[in-house]
Amino acid sequence: MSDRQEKVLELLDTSGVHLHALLGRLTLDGHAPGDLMQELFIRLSGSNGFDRAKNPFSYAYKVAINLAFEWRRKRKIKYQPLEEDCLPPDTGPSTLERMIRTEELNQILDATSQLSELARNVVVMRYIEHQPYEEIAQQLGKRPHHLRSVNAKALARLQALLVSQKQNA
Amino acid sequence: MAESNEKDIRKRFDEISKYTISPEVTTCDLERVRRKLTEQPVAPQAMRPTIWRMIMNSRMTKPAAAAVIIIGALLGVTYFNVDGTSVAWAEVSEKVQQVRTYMFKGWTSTTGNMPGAEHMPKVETVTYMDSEYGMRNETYMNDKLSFIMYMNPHKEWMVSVMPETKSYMRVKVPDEQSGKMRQQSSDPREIVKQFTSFGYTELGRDTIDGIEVEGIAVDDPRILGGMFDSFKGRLWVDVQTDLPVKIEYEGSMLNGEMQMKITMGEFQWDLELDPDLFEPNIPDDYTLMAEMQIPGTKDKDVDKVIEALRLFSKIADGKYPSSLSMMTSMKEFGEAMKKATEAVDAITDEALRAEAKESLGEILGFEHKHNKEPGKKPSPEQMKAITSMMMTMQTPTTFYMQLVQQDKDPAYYGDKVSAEDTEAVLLRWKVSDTEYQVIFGDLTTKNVTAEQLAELEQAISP
Repeated sequence: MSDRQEKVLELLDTSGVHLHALLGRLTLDGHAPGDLMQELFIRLSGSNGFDRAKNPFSYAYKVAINLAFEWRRKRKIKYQPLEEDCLPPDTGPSTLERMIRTEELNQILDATSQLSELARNVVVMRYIEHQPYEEIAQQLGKRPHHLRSVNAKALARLQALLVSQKQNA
Repeated sequence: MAESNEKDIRKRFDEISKYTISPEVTTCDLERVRRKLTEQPVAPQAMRPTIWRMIMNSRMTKPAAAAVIIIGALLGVTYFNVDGTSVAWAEVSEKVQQVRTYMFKGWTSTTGNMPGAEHMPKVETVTYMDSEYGMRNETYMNDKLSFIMYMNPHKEWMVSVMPETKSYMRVKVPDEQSGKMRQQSSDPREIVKQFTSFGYTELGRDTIDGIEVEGIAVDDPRILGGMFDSFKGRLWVDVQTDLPVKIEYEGSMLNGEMQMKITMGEFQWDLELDPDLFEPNIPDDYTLMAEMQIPGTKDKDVDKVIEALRLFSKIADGKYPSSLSMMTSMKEFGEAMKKATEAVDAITDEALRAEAKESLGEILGFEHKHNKEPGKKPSPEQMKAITSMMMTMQTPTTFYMQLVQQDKDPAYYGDKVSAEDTEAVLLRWKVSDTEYQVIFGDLTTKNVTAEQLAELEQAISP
């Protein structure tokens, strides 16, 4: 077994659960995380960048985020306005509310996929993984105050994207 | 829909951060990744073997087939012992290892698309274990005692006795494995050790037969020696005694064509058992149906592996088993038999056909009568030869399992290499820090360095 393969398997053991959970949150899909995990680790197995990375987990983490948003972009799911003739059979208000809410969550993630890679990473680490700026800065190799600025702009951009989606619907 | 302001965006992200996937799905997905990173794919098979139909439809050979499969499973448990255990359940494993005697009942169900699967009997077992005297396993098929298996850690033979047919089989364990067999003469204890050593998911508490239990779930197909393509198991332990109350596992084999579910329960621990219970005491009028020696990794044992591969290639028109998993190689042997007998049948010249049948019979070791006489039961001679063949065909499988267990870096290329490929590596394993032993496609052998091996293996097409 090569050194790289050992390193990849060690990462799977130590951080596989975390990465899998991250992919789950970014896809909101039961099946996608499994496929994306395979894709992730196959990519890492063939990556010189992974070999050279000082922090293999950070490297894998960023690749995982990119894979998840790549998946979202390839998904051919468009926002559908909930007009009367598209409504599902009346199975109760809670089911309908859940569907609406899931759609809203997917919208914000789809909008996030349109941000720059840096902005996307900051948003994911800050709001989904709840990491402090200092930790994010360490992972991304940037300064915390720079990332605060990136984050603020990212939120403004997301607001604009959501408004635009609503108007185009 | 809510207004798209910053507060709403943060709220949506917060909900996303709470999204979770079930631990079982996570474990399964991670194991898929591990398998992808570390294992070779196995080519799927599709044909239906005549020999399998003969075995499954025969009252006489079914117990023998079951005995062979159970021997294979026990060997798998033995060869895949592990030394490390994880912290939380290590005490359970240690407690179980300290128990000197116990007994339990087992239930097995087999389903699938294999021919004869619809006739699979209901199988129940009663097993007695004693650290000093070994194991006695009574197997009942459709409520009838079919065979009794004995495994004594101090003796070199495992014995299976079939009272209904007044016959028995023996498997000899090589010296290099006999010490391990002495250490691991107990089946559920080894299963507990393996369950608690591979990755598991905690299931929390439940009640079984009025006993409060705590459980774990496992799904690593390496458990039980990789006998299953996919595997799921659960271990339930009494919270008061830390001893197993129920063990259950299920898995698929033959690329999903066969599914097996096994449950062990009604455990009784530390009971008085008569040592005579563990003696086969074979009556004089019983017939030895087959005996097999599990190959070690010495030269004479390698010869036995080559012999088995040669037999396979003679029947299979120069091909070898695509994989050295027990079920796959047995299934493919059956398929090859069917093809060979059909080819013989297709010969129109009577004299030539008779000669071809005799030739096939010489290879197989018995006069082959097949589906020209449907419904006819195999003769005792055929039955003995079939069982002997089944055990012979397990030789490469058990050899390979040993190589893996002994960390000898084995690799097998039967899906790509045939008897014509005189310079292609069919099977190889490490024999020293600097050398590998290689069996080539023409079944010659040679020792090579790691560099030479790398060159040879490059020539094998992907």
